Amino acid sequence: MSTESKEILVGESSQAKPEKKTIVLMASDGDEFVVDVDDITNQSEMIRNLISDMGGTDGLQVPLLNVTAPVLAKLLELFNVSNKNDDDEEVTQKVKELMEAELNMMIDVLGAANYIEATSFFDLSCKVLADKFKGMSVEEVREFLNIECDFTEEELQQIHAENAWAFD
Amino acid sequence: MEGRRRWEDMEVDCLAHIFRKLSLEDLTLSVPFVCKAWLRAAMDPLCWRSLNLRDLDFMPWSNFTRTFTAQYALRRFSFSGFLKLAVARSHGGAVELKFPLPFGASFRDLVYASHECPRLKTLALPNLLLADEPQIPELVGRWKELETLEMESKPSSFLEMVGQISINCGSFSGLRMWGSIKKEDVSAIVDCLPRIKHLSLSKSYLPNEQLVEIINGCRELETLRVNSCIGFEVDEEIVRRASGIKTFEHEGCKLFDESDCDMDECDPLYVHEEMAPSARSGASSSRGAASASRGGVPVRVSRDASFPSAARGGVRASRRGAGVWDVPHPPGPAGNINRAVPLNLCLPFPLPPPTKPSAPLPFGKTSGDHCRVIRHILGPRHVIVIIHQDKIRTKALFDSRTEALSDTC
Repeated sequence: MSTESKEILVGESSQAKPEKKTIVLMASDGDEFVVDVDDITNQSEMIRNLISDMGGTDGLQVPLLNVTAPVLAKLLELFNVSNKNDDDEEVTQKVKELMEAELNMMIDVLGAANYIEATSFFDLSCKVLADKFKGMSVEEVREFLNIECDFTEEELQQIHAENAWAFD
Repeated sequence: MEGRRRWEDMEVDCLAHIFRKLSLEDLTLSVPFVCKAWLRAAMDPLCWRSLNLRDLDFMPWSNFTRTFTAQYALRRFSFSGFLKLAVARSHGGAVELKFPLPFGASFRDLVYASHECPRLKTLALPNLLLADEPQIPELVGRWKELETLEMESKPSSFLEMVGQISINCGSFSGLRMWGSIKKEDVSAIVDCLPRIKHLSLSKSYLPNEQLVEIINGCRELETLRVNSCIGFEVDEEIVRRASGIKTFEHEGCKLFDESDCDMDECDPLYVHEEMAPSARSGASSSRGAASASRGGVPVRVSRDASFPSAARGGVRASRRGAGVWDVPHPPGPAGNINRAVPLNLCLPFPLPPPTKPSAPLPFGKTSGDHCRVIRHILGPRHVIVIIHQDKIRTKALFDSRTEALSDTC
């Protein structure tokens, strides 16, 4: 709800290296996030391309229309973990924790990562989510993830029929 | 529970990206039947870019085959059918295709894939019949974007294949195979694929001279794997020459194979050229083979041949894999050499039950330079095929329960 600007500096503090360049990411609800250019371009292909298209970072504000402030904050927090660690272990663990604790948030974070083309983070998150139900039967998946079957018996029959051609 | 219901509501695009991390087993057996949203996402060609059929068990009695047949209400399951299904879902966009080794895939499937999956970057070949090998070069040459090629044993048409790759596959960078690596093979690699980056020849017979030629000739190699090879020992000289290669793996390499009769570990079936019938029935197990050799039958395994112990080591590894091994004729006066031929364990097509035990099999004399042995194993039964000078010389059925060896052809 708050509209005041939030300072989330991804990576080192700005005081240590005052010359560090920053840009502003604007969440869909208007909140502003100041981020270090190197740290965000390290993750987001979209922003990297944007900066290169704009020919610089001076006063650059990037509105992220599909991403709410809490989701953006969470995403930047995870980027921070990722940027600080050379291996993926730590960030994988964080993604796992988030998925267990707040699946809703994780799904939104995943969508946001896809939107800003944070390819390697997105890829890693997809792997964590896939690991959650790999090797399970249909019933196990439904029960485990609490998904309701919305197929009718006829529709299921039709899926079978649609695939039979390959085995004729 | 509102939060947990969101799995269905995830964007199809995100779901598809998650699903592509799953195996083809999950993608066919569970995911599409969970709910409509998941079915839609599972049909996204993105999920079908990488077709790793090697991880699936296509044996008729396997859990996967049976579940698939039931799930799709099929009358009969076939590997070709499954391939067609997977390929159709990829909409021609598959970039990786790995055929299963032990069972199922045939040359026809490879031809089918060459038409339907033109964008492959990674291809792992199935085990093919010797008769089909001459066609491999032309087929492989059809994949213009091919970067990595994996195969079990070196095909007889290797030189032509390398030629086709060099003409057609501009981005080619990785090759994995094993076999008896001869001078001409190395020359072909160096001449036609000088810019190759990844080469794996583990478990091969690879003489020192050939190894050095590869290292000297392929200057852009980043990975060279020659683990468990016979024919060289890595010395300072080789290490110095290979210093430009980022990953140079050469574990367990030997100049000669020294452990000829110690077969307890690898459990191969050894068939001796001139083995007496009684000894041959004793060759049903590793212990049998070893005792056969101790029992006065002169078994000399591969000290001379370019048939490395590595290959024997490979028996265990390739037990579910398969293969055709080159067994070059050992040096020395022909007819005076007693040589045991290790048979690889390879999985099969359904076999008829064993017939009655028969007279000793006419294992051909290996007077030529080339004898190949294929062994298919099906439960306790094995089919043994010995190919000599490109002709099938002997087919036999071996039943390990009764230790009966019968001539089937």
